[in-house]
Amino acid sequence: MTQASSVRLPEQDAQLYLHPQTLARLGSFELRAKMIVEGFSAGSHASPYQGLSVEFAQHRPYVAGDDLRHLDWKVYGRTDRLHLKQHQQETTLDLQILVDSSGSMAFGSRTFADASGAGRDTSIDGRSNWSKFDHATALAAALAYITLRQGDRVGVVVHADEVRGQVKRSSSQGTWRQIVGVLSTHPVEPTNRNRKGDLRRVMDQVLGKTTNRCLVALITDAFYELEDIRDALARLKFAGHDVMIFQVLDKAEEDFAFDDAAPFEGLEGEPTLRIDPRALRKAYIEAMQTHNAEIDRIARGLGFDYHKVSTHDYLGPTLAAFIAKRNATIRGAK
Amino acid sequence: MAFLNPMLLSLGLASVAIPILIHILMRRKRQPIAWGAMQFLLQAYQQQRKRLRLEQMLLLASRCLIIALLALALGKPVIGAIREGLASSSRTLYIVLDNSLTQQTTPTGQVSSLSLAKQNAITTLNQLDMQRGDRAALILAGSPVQSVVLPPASDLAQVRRLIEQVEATDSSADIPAAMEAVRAAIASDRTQSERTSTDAIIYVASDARTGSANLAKPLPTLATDTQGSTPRLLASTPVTQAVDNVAVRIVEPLRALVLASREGQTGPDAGVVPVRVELVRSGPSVNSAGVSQVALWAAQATSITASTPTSDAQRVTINWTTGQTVASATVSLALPANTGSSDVLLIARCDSDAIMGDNIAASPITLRSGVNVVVVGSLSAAGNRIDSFTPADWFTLALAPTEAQAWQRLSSELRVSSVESRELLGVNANQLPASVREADAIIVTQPHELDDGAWRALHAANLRGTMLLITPSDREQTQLWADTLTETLGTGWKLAREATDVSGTDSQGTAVSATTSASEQDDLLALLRPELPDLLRSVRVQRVMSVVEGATASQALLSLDGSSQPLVLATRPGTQQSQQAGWLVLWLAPPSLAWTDLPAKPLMVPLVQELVRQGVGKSAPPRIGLAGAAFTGTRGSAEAAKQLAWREDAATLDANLASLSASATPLAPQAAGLWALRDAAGQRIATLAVNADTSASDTTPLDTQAVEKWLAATGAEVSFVASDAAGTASESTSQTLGASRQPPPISLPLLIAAAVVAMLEALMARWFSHATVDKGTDKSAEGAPA
Repeated sequence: MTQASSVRLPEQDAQLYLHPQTLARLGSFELRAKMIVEGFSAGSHASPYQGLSVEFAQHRPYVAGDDLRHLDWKVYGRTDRLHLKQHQQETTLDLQILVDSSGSMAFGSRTFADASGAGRDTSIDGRSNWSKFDHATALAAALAYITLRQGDRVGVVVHADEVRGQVKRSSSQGTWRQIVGVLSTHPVEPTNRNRKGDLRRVMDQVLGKTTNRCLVALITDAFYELEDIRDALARLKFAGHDVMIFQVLDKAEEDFAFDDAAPFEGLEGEPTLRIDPRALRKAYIEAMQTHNAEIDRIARGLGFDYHKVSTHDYLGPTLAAFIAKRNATIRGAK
Repeated sequence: MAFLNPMLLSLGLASVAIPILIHILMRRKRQPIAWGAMQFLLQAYQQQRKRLRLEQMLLLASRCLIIALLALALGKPVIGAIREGLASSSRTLYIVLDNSLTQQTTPTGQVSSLSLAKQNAITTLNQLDMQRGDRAALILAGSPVQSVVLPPASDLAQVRRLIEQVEATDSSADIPAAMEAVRAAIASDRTQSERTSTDAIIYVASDARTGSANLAKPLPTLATDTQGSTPRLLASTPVTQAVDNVAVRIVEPLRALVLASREGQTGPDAGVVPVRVELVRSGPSVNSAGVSQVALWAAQATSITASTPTSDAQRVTINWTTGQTVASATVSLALPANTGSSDVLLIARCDSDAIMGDNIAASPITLRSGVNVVVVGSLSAAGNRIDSFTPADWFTLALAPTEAQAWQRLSSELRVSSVESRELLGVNANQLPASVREADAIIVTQPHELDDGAWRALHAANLRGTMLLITPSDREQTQLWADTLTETLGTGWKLAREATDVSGTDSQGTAVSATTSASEQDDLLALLRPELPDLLRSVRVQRVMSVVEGATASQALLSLDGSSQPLVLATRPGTQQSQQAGWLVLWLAPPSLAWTDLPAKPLMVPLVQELVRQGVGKSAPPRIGLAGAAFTGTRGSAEAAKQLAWREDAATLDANLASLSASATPLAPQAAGLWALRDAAGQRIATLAVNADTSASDTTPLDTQAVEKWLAATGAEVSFVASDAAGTASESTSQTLGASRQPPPISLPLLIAAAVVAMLEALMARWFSHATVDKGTDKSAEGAPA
């Protein structure tokens, strides 16, 4: 940790990860699991334990798209306002967020000032660029926040060659704080560079502690061997988890828009390559697109969702589009 | 290939390193990019690596090529497109300039053949291009051959100046020797400088008349070297115009021994020398009768300064008959008064004609007051009968036939003295009797009495020019001295030790006949020959020492009838220096009545007198040299100094001939004229007359095809160059030499090539950078949904 981070509180950092715009837009959506969640509390999710969860929790304003069945007509009669009647326990959706902090996540071509939207020029540890890891933690925090607001349990794992930091699944009040703390204390520092990600080992460690079925969010650049990815996803599927894959990529990685010949140094211990980028661009882009398409194919084959997240986009639109699509999927499945 | 600007070329070629340096420097300068997606980059790189390498190399090569082409263009390469096409190279011109006597021919009356040849040589030389690396060599063919510029030099202007300074010699041309020098120069040039691309061109500038081109003498083969290109041989077209020319070949006293008139001597013969002059002629007038005028005069050798006849010169008219090429006349020439015993010069000069150098000839003669003869052997007691005469008696009698006392014999022209054999025994050369030391001729009649020391003394005297006459001992049966004679004097004769009886069945003896002499100059009996048959008729020989081997027919003056057994042998002992040794005459039968009746016959007196006079006269060292030939008659002289050249335009010839003592090379003057021979003390001891080599006087044109065949024997490509008039040579030589048209520098095509390669490079650079491909990819990448 740098000096800057010790002065600032983790709560304040949440402002960085969740831009006010982002949070405002997300607040109106429910995060719902696609699958039937095993849990003790019954809720709006499709559950094998119907009728058990009827305890009133709160009212919330109606927004377009909400199911009219849940409108509280009594409130409407009294106040002439449309409110939804929400119940305390529907089902619990355990969310396990896996954030990749391997060396390649340190890459970022976008300036920090442009990305954060909080008026900051540098990150808390002094970097001036908005790395993929920055974006990944922002996304993770957003997911965690949304989930916690729904009262579901959230766990976070920061991993590279092994699990580097962890917050056990919980829905308690202090969880948010812990999550922010873990996300901000395990950056991809220069000393951690060349740390080659080891997805198999991480999966061993994560799956060994996760017994119940949950929703797993893999936030990673997916710069792994396809075999490792396939193996990891298959094991998650076998354990009964649902998986969302958020592939965080930098725009420069996708476009490869370099014009001048330069040496390229690998961030995970690869050899330095002196090349003319223009000459290799086509082949590089092809290789990357093939790789991504293959991950997409594997994910779809297992019934998982795959999303590509660019660090140049704000988190909000990406997340919103994802949740909307997900809700639609769940409703369609009902 | 030659370059006009080799410096710029090397600079430019060095700058080829620039793109390579840029390439290396640029690699170092770039900031590295930390890159996450190395996985795909490596994958792409491994796919494309070979193609990328190839593209990079192609680009680098084309960039280097551009600069190299520019450098070459700056260097302005010159390609001679004649014959060799692209494989052009520098040329080496070997000019063989014939400056011999023949080239003095002035056919048109204004310009001599030499001037024309010089002009042609310069014209040919002007075809060369110094910037191409052409070189030229100059060899003068007038013998002795002079390599003026050899090995070839690149300073063509200097060669041109040297050609302009060339003067005609009075010697003959030795084109074979000149070509040999060229051959050696080409061979060493090829081995030393490894200039395999140098073209050797030989230009023979000669009229190729009979006098200069000796077709009987083959030329050396030039094209022996297989790896080198065949040399090309240009030659002036042989002239066809015949020119009349008359040359004085010989002027000489009729007798080898010329005695000075003594005081008080009167009569028609006093102070008069019979002189023979010989003329040769060539040209179209040979086919008709003609008349030539010759002026003959005598002058004191030390005081002569000009070649013009004196007022008292005798003029002789020679009438040529049709077809006659050689004519001679004999004139009695009055010697200049008060000459004493110094050298007198006999000079003959004919009218001016085509060749000036051969119109005059001279011959120095040494006037002798008398001849000292020593007879070694016992004389019989005075008043003895004729049948007890010893050979010494007979010789003395033959040399001084009058009844004179000893003191009278000493005052006559032939001064005879006698010495006992024993006086020569056991003494060294300085202790010899004065009469022997100063003798012009020594007659040995008792050779068996001489010891080795005496023989060595005789040999030393012979080498100094003393004539020797030796007879066997008339009393000894076994002639053991014969071996010593052969060994000491080096005659090569092998004599039988026992006398052979040739008295025949009727004891009448064998008749004797004269042997025809091979060379008139070496014939001691030349003046006696008309009378010899009559005089020999009564001579009979009873016994003779037979020659086993070693004697040639030409050495025999008299031989026995019916066999090859000689009776009198004459030779100049030794080998190369024989010109300087005195004559050696061997009588194989002593003048003794027991051996032969010769001493009692009329032949005896003229035979002995003639042998001694001619032998002594011809034993004197030669005083006539031939221009261009090495002169060997410098015995006893330490220095030779040029006194006079007959032609005024030959002043610079022979300027380099130094003193004789140190030089190993013999004196070989090229100009006809007079030389003074001096001893070590600087005293003038003799006069040397150098005459023109009249073998080169033959102006008869040669058949062109024969000359071509002669030249082609060198193995070179022969082509003739018109040389009949000045200026016309340039066209034909330039055609053959291929040098007159200065080939333009080919820098423009190179520049165009560089531009083409530059355009290719730009296209390749654009294509290899995938700039065009990228734009499409970018658009598709942007447009595609994430």
